[in-house]
Amino acid sequence: MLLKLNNIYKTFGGVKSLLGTKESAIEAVNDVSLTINHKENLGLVGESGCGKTTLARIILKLYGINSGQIIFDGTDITRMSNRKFRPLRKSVQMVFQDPYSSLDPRFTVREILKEAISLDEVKYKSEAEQEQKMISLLKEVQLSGDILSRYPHEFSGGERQRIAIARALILSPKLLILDEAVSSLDVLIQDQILQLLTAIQKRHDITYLFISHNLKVVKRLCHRIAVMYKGKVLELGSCDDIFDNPLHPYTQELLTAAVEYRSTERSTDLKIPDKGRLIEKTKGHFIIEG
Amino acid sequence: MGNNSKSKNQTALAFAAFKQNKFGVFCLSILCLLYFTAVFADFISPYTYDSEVRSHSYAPPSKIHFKDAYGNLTWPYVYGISFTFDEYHKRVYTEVVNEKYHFGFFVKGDKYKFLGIIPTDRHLFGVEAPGRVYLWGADSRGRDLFSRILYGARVSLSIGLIGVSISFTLGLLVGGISGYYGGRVDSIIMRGCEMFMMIPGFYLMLALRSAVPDSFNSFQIYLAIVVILSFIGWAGLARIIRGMAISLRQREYVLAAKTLGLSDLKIIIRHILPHTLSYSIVAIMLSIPGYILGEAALSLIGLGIQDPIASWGNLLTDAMAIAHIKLHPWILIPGFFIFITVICFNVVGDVLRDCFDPLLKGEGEANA
Ligand SMILES: Nc1ncnc2c1ncn2[C@@H]1O[C@H](COP(=O)(O)OP(=O)(O)O)[C@@H](O)[C@H]1O
Ligand SMILES: [Mg+2]
Repeated sequence: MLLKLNNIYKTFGGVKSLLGTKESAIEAVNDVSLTINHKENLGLVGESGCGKTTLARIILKLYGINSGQIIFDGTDITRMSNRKFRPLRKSVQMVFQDPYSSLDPRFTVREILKEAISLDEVKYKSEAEQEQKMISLLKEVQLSGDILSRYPHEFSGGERQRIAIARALILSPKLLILDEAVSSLDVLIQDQILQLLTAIQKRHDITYLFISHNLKVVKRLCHRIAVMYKGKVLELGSCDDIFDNPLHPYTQELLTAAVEYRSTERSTDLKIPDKGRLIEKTKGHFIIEG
Repeated sequence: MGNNSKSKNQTALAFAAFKQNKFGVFCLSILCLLYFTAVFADFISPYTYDSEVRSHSYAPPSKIHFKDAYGNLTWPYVYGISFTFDEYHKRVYTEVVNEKYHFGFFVKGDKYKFLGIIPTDRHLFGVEAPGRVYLWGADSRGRDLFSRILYGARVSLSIGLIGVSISFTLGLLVGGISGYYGGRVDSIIMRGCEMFMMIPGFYLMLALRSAVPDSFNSFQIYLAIVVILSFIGWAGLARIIRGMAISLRQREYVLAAKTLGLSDLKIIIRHILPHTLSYSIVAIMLSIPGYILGEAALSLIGLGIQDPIASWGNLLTDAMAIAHIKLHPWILIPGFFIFITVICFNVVGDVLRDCFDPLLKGEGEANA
């Protein structure tokens, strides 16, 4: 087991003000438990605002949590201090949602990659060796080595996302979180990036947590899918389970939306049992029940 | 987003826009000229700052003659001067017509060390010894005001630069740390800053100055004043940088750097502070006058740079008595220099702000 999340809660806001009036907190992640197995890509699907990014940042320990437990590669990292976590941090990397803001506009590609290389345990003896490493990395993401001196704004969204992937790969992470990494790209480029990710996984010992609001895209890359809604995981199962036998009405909605390319129009708000737990219906296929 | 086209060369873009503004460029050139003369003050000035002739106390600006006794054009010269007392015991200077001293370049004069290293006695211009030329008159002890203003520029102009570098380093770091960490660290640091900002600057300056031992020599006093002035300036900047850091820390490239495991200090220095650069440059320009005026104020009331070292502030000490201004109006010239410098820095700062403005707007906004 690579990653295990136990009953994660995360709220935003809700601080008591001076007068004692408590504004209601946003429950961004509400009692989420998930496991990611080695080399078994997990897709996390749900509409915008359901807490996917928040969950990803919790795994990276960019956000603290209210309660719950995070176990990565057998180590409980929930309460680990930043200093202690730093060496482990390299094993979990992330490709961010917005390729326009995940690369510092003041840095050249060389400087961006160098920053990551400087943090690698492998020490490079010479500049030339570092340069070599950078070029081979760019080759890995199908970019040519002569872009090193260029600035992020000179690239298209797809190219930037490749640079971001290259940067994430430098530290040889075990888990790579892709947060809507292809959502802002057009279908053709999406396709290329997905192929690239598949190719990378063949060569490296890496597992993906692939976050998207589009079920179809997730299917391309993932073995298992978790469906999230308003901070809760509603359904969890293998790709086939979710696509052939969606149990939850919300999953069915998402599926129709993905297949028919139309937005979902919901007549009534979905009722999610507040104390709902995931119940195993068939082997490996869970659905929330209250 | 939409601001993807701006990049490292946004600073270059702003400077290109700056060049279009004639008045801004004019003021910047004046500043450059002033700093240039300050650096080469000892060579450009005909006398050293402490070269005095007591019998020339408050000698008026020398008349420069271009024509000889017959009205023919000659190489410029000055006459020697002597004085008599009028009925109020005021010195009245008259030219001694049989003492002619011609101007010359690279004339021999007071010994000094060029740029503090090379010993020499050549000055850019002057008159033959034993004559003396007072372009802008002399002070109470018969020292050339022009030379003293140039020497004073060294003190007054450098205090601005050094002071601003100290308080900016402090302000950037403290503001960066405060905004980046947020939470309790932020609250504590910001309350501290507010305490500094609460005390009126001038009184804080006086209080700090009184803590400086009397035994300090002039250089130590100079340093003490720089430190005192920077101490007052950093808090305001820290608050503004902190505000920018709060929005910048949400940027995905900051999160990406964090994910890689870059240390917090490195993230602040590499990914947060550089993005406040356009603001900082403007703020630096606009805050330098404060240091120059601060030094002038301290020196004027006798707490700053001590005689015989010259600074624009202590050169004005004489001008505190109205009677002196009436009798020797040229002692106000250092004030004119302060005025010009302050105006120029403000204009350059303002023009720069206008150039950065469209860019600043994109820089300040947080990521959704
Ligand atoms: N830093 C934050 N401060 C306050 N609320 C936040 C913050 N980040 C996310 N949220 C809220 O948490 C919820 C989940 O957001 P997010 O995880 O970004 O959703 P998703 O990535 O699925 O679109 C949203 O309601 C959002 O408004
Ligand atoms: Mg998101």
